[in-house]
Amino acid sequence: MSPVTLFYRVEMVDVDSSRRGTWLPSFAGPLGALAIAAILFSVILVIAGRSPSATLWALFNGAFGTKFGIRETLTRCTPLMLCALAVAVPARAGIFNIGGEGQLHFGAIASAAVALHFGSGLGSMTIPVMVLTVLVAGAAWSLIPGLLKAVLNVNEVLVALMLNYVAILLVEYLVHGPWKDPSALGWPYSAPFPKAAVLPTWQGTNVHLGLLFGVVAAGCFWFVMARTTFGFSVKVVEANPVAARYVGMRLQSYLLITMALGGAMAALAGLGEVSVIQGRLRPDISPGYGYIGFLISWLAGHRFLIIIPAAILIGGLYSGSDELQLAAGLPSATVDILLGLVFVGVLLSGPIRRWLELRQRSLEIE
Amino acid sequence: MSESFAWTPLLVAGAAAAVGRGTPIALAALGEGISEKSGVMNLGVEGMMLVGALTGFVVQVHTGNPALAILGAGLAAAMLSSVHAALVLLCDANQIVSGFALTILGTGLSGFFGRPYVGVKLIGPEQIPLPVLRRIPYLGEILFQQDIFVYLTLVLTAGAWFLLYRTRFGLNIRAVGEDPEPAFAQGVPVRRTRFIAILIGGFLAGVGGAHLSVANTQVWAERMTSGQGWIAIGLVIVARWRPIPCLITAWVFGAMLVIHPYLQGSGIEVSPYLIGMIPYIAAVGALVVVTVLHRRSGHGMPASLARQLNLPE
Repeated sequence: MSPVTLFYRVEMVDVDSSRRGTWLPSFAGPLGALAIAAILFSVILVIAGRSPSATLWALFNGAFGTKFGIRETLTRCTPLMLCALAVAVPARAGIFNIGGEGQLHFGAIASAAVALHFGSGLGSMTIPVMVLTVLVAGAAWSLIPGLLKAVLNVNEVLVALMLNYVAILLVEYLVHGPWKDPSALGWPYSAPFPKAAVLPTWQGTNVHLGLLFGVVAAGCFWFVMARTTFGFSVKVVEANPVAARYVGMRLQSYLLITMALGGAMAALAGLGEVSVIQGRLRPDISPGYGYIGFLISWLAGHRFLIIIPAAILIGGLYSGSDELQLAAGLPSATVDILLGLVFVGVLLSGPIRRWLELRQRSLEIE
Repeated sequence: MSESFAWTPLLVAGAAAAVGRGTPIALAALGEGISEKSGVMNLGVEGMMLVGALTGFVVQVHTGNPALAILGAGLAAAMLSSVHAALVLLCDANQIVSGFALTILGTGLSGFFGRPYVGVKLIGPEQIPLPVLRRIPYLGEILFQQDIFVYLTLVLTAGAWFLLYRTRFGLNIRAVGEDPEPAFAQGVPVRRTRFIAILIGGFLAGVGGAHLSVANTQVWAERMTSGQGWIAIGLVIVARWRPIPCLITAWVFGAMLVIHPYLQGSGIEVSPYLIGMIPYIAAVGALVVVTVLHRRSGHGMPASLARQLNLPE
């Protein structure tokens, strides 16, 4: 194929894949995925001897039925939204970022470093300094797999996964060792963050500035991808890397830029968790938000504006399952089953949608 | 002089422990290798190991028979892997996402159904010294005074090599992994071959998980595999998709998992959390080295790994 024909193919790339001519609305896929997950989950509940309808209702009610539940859902959706953006940005350039969990933990370490080192010394500048440090730290951590992929072509999925465990162990090492607070009665905690290093919260709840960061970032990424030349270039790189290289685009730089942006987002999630939710650096700051961010991004088809409601929904699953643990005595692993099934639903909804569309088309022809 | 004398039995005991701890990784990597040889990447190893670990543990608690534990663990994990098979082979799902779903699902299912077994203790499988072989100096003590899982691993590794390189079915596996469309045209049942390879992979990952809970820790804990499934997937690349190197590298990683008590014993004080990073960092290092060394030859990767099938209906 000559470069000219390749370039022509690039021109033909469907720039906004969400607006392909279909009779199904764009949110049908995610909703279908959730419906499939609910059905499969009911089967497991029946096997475990539980009532599916009561459990699902308790889950929904716990997530969205009460004021407390909604606040809890918004609190939970903050790290999820940021971690989903961490996956979606590189995914738009065709790269897997499964390192969200590690980037989150490294961001937590970076924010603790600023908070513990400067204390209240920076005054009102503490939070801006902390946010900048965390963004840089997250980008740096994600550039390890990014650079290894770009320069040496090492499998980025496996490197990022290994680094997740390294970052988690690094947190453990710090709070058991050098950063351990002697007054924490033997618990592996760092000293509490000074007031100046706690992100502002909304009316005394745990809903914090991180949520705003997430929403604004999603909006910015949407704008960049949909309305700028850079965004168009990223789409071309994803759709046809060979053609992109023929027209002189540097694939590696797109890989690195999107990876770094993604890592920075996941690190912000870590900042919110240690600064507001825990108030200190400690182990177990994340029940796998980084991994579930991967799920949300796929659920939303890597579309930034759909990530916002998708993250709220999955955040609701978390807060609802907290309620299930308390009220119905179900184990905490219940939410993992449910999330795994949502994944399965996402993968099943694609073929089902294709099948429905094919049928519709054949009906129209008749 | 007397100090240097005491090192030998210590090292031999350490090597024997490393073989024991490396066995779950070896089995999981062997299974993943067979699955990948057929062109299907399965990132669900972690979840399948957990399901196998729980099932094996439960069977061992109730029957005390390690052979039944192996069978139960393998079948349970193979059932989970059939979800991956269905998604990948029937729905043309993205292999990476589907495998990931399997890991989360397996983590959830094992945590959910395993709660009554938290804190339960069991009697592990007994060490069965093999006659004659155990008298081989050093090697006998390291390899041939182990439990049934370890011997099974040795047999299965040799068996996997034989299956892949000396049987018709093995040839089919490699053919559908390298180039499925021509294989299909030649009459090889691509989907069926891949399906069986995925199930073998799931079975072996489950048995590996069972060794972890039944023999190594002898307790069940949620998420107890702690990334060993991911290490196994990395090992497949490091061993360049060959069964026997897979086994040996798994033992090396087993050594990294048992290193901490030995360091403490010899008076070196290092944080266990820093030591805990060694296998993960070593895996990254090994991946980099293998990728760079074999850049031209494609380091033995099945040419159609994780690629979408393009078969006529």
